[in-house]
Amino acid sequence: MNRRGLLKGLTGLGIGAALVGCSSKGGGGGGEGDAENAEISFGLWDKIVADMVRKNLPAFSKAHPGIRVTVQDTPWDGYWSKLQTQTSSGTAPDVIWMNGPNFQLYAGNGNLEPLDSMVDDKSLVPTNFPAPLLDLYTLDGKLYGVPGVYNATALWYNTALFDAVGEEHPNDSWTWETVQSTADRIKKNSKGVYGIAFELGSGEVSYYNTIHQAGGFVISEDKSTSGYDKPETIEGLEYFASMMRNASAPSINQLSDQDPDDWFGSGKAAMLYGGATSVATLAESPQAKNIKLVHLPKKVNSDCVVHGVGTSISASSKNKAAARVFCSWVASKEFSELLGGTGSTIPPFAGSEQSYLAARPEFDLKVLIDAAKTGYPYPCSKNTTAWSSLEPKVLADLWSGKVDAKSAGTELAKQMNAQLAKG
Amino acid sequence: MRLVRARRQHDGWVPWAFIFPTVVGISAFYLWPTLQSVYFSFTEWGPFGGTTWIGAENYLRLAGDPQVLKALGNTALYTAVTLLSIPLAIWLASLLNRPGLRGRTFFRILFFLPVVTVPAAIAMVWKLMFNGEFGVINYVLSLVGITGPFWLQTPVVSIVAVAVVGIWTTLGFNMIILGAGLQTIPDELYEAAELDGASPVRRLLHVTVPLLTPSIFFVTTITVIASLKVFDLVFLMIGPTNPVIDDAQTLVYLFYDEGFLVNDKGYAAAIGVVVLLVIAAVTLVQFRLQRRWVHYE
Repeated sequence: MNRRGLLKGLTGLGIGAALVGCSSKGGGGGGEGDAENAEISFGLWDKIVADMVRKNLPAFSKAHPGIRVTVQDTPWDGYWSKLQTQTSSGTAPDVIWMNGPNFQLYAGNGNLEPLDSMVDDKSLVPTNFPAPLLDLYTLDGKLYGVPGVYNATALWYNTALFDAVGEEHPNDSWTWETVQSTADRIKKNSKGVYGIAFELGSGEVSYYNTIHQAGGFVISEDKSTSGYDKPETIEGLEYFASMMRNASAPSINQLSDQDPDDWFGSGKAAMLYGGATSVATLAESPQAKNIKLVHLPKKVNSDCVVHGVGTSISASSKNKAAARVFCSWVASKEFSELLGGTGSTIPPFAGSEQSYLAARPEFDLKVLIDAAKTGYPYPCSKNTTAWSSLEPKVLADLWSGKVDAKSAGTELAKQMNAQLAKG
Repeated sequence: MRLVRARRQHDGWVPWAFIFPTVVGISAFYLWPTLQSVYFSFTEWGPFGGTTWIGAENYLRLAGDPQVLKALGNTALYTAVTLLSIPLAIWLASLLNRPGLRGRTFFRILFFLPVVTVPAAIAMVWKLMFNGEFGVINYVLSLVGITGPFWLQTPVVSIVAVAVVGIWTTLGFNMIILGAGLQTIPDELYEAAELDGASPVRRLLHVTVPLLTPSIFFVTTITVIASLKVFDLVFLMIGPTNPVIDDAQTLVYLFYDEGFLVNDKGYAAAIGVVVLLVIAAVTLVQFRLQRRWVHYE
């Protein structure tokens, strides 16, 4: 190889990171278009739901022959960075899936269309949907998303492991202390089985629930300050930390290597904090026939956090009228029944749960649906990921036993407040 | 030497026409975005565009940000470890180059497979192997009485573990380049060395390596550039919810974190510019140093 060839080889490579940006401001710029004659696109991240929508589009087209819908599913890992780029350049799909952490970022920057007119003409009836989800997708008194599939949390347990050590099965009267002492006994009395497992990579099915149950909060009502330095919030963190300290639960390293769903599903843990998202994994696990679920244990209350998808309309859409027609299908009972039929997550429309419950008759999934009724919305702000990405990092020292709950909570509150101050 | 050069004919527009498509492509997809990134690094940039000029503020913040220094250290460590793939590749390429070797194509394909495998799949499999409790690596270690660590949850160890996967994925590419370099070394030199009584090791060190230096220089430069830009393996094997992500994040991961999680895209652009400068500086140094050790015939 000679020197010349070498130089040629180098120039062909992109050296350094390039960031393609658009300096146009997001938001607005769309139009109403023709309600019954338009091409619209629907962007989402869940392949199961995307396939379901594609399969059932003919039914929608029968009622609205002039609306042509393309379904664009993007895998979760790339969904948000792609949507942000599309939104910046005004090329986002007409109808898009939102989640809690990103909703206010989009709505607060004027990138979503309020759905009030749908509420007015009854094509979207809020009372058909769980209240926490309506709260989640409301900003400044306006509703921006049709509540979609959602997640609630329950306490799962393995009857075989409980029976093996002669422990009483969990029931609705259980408190935090019952779970803690039972988990401890199961660990001590059985060989190689942990009392409990939980997901700590994010708080959705773990500490977001207990923080609220102890009377604390993650973020203040006005979204301006962190609640992590409040004694009640710290109590909610301490609950999980204590079970890791006495080894009733796997260590943070073990949980990071191996999903809690896997610990529980393979019979290596007797209890699990898990949501609707764990159902599919657990139904296919070796322990499926021994698995049951009950409502979460109580501290001050036993409410669980409810997080779900919202189906929104892009402010930049050129066919908002047709997008609303499509969203009214998404808001229908029929659509929820189709969602339930996939058996993958809870359908949002009240009274449409039958197909969901029938899809997984082995579990009493009504527990999750009932929990959502008294639940509360997922904590979020205008720039949620800026502080929520701090949680696993800062709390790692608590889970590994390096610091106590008070100092971890105080430190997290400090860093979170610094992010919130940036606006 | 003649003092008066013959005047070169003017070639007119023809050569320009030949390079035009490439120039357009590189300008549109590399040069222009790079210039834009540099501009954005001097701005505050909201999540959906809309920039305000803030001068060098991002850079001042960057200079005092302990995260940047840590990420730089992690990136350097990752790069240092992946460079080990080069001696390994030389050794394996020489083995594959032995006269009379059977199934050479088969082995070549075998070593090249990781290069064309999807990083997500690679990360998944290695993650399973590195599993602290049930992973095959710790199982093998336990057979000889060693209790292996939690590879991906232990500071420093985690980034080295990811770098090992980095070696594995680049080995095939480096072997192909070095193998091609080996083919150009004339047999007579080896015969002469053998007649002079040089052992296989000395033949490798005094004939193969010096004559391979142009190829070695090429793969070193490419490996360093690729390693300084590592993101996917860190994101997939360690990721945002791992307890030690702060101890393992590389520069480009930090860029992702600031740009797409914190949504501070101006600051992220500044980190991007730093990555660019680091790569440019390191590459420049390598080109300077090559005069000392690279032998072109």
